[in-house]
Amino acid sequence: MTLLRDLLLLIIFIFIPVILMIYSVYMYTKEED
Amino acid sequence: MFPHHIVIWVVFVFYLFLLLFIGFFAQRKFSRTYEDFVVAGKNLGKWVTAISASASAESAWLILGLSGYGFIYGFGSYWIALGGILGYWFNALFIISQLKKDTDRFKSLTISDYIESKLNDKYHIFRTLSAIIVTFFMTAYVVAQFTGSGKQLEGMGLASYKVGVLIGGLIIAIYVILGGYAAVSYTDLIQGILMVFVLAIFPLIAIFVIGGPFEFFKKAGELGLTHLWGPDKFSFFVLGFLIGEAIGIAFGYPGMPHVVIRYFTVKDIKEGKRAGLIAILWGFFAYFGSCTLGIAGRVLVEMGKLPNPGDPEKILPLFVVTFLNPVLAGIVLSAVTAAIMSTADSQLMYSSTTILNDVYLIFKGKRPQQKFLILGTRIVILILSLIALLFALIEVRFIYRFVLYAWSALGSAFSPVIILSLYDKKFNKYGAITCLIVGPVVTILWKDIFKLTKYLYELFPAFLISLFLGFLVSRVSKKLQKN
Repeated sequence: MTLLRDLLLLIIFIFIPVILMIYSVYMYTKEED
Repeated sequence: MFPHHIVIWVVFVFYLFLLLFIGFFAQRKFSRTYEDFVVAGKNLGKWVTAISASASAESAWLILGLSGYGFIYGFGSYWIALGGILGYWFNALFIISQLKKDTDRFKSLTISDYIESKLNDKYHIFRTLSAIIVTFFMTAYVVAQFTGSGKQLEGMGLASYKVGVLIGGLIIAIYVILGGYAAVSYTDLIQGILMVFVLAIFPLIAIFVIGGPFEFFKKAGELGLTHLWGPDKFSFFVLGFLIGEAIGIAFGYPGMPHVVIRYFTVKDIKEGKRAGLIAILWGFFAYFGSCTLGIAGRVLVEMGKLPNPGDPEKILPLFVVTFLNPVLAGIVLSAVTAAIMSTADSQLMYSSTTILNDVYLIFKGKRPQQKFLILGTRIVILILSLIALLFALIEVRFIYRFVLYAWSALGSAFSPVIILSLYDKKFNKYGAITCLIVGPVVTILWKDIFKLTKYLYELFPAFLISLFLGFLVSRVSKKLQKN
């Protein structure tokens, strides 16, 4: 259970923000200058 | 052991020759004019810009120091990775294109050129202060990199500390003197690819040695390494320290002069935007790879498959010599040296350009011939390299803290200047000069006088105070001038 909780916290606090950041930079490259 | 060492050396020497070859190539193509030599004609593509900027931003700390953090804090080290990515994200969205647009308009070759033109600093005060800060802190930074080179070769049992320092320092000096900024950028591209290759692949090998991802998580969980607050009981102090350090590291990215210069030299805004995306992906693999490698190394130590390295920063060299064949060991050695060289060469190049372009040329008034400018820059590179070599040879420093010290001083001086110059219309030269003074002063006070770094990484307060005072002084000085 502790391991599951730790993995969940890792996804919520670390991986989701990272994916959102990369996605926003990707969308920015698609914008017209 | 002897043949093993020979194979490592062969791979390593091949890599060093590759760097020298790029230096010769760049010398033929990019040393005809001064602009070619110091900014590669401002015509670099997205891959070179992104990967060379990233490799320059990340020193040996990324491979040795951060994996050491993974070893100590487990998943808690991922906060630091998040901080690094935050820095790449901020630069990609808010700095690269905007700075490219402005610096092309003013035809700037350095940050001082840009700030002086944009803020109309006729008396060259910003330029002078900036040259002092860049020369002092970047030389300190280069010393730390050369020290890393010595430690690495010594750690793998391949050479003495002093021979390691000399190899790293002399190779860098040769190719930078030969090929200038283009040599720095293209060698950094190769070095950045090598770094991310090692940091993406080797954690996977380590996890495989443990017995697969499931085994890795299970073992790491049993050791408490999967907690985001470190392996011990939950503590707001440790969690706060890690998050503070992560945000602090992110604050450094927008203003690191030897990295920001890459945004001046990208071909156009479109390439700049794409470079931002490549850089953040590079950062993702490099940062998370390094942390994971440290965590996997700790699991292997606890399983008894690796001896305790004593110094957590030595976990990667230890893992390599224990588990991998000598060709891969040679690649790792090259990758760590690449991390060191890619930072040191960019800093040498930038501080030499600063000394000649920002100080000598401005105060001399009359512009000498192209040939003299290139020769002058080369002589400054040589002198700075020799000074850094001398300091590295006489004193061993603990890589991580020393690099972070230089990172905080440069970051807290220049990041607020770059951000305010782009986004605050009322920002003026008085505000910029304030940032340059306040950032390093708060860094030194926080770290060395009040010794508060154990509670909060010094770049955090230094950046915020510098930013706030830069903002405030610009407004107050404007009002005073009106009165």
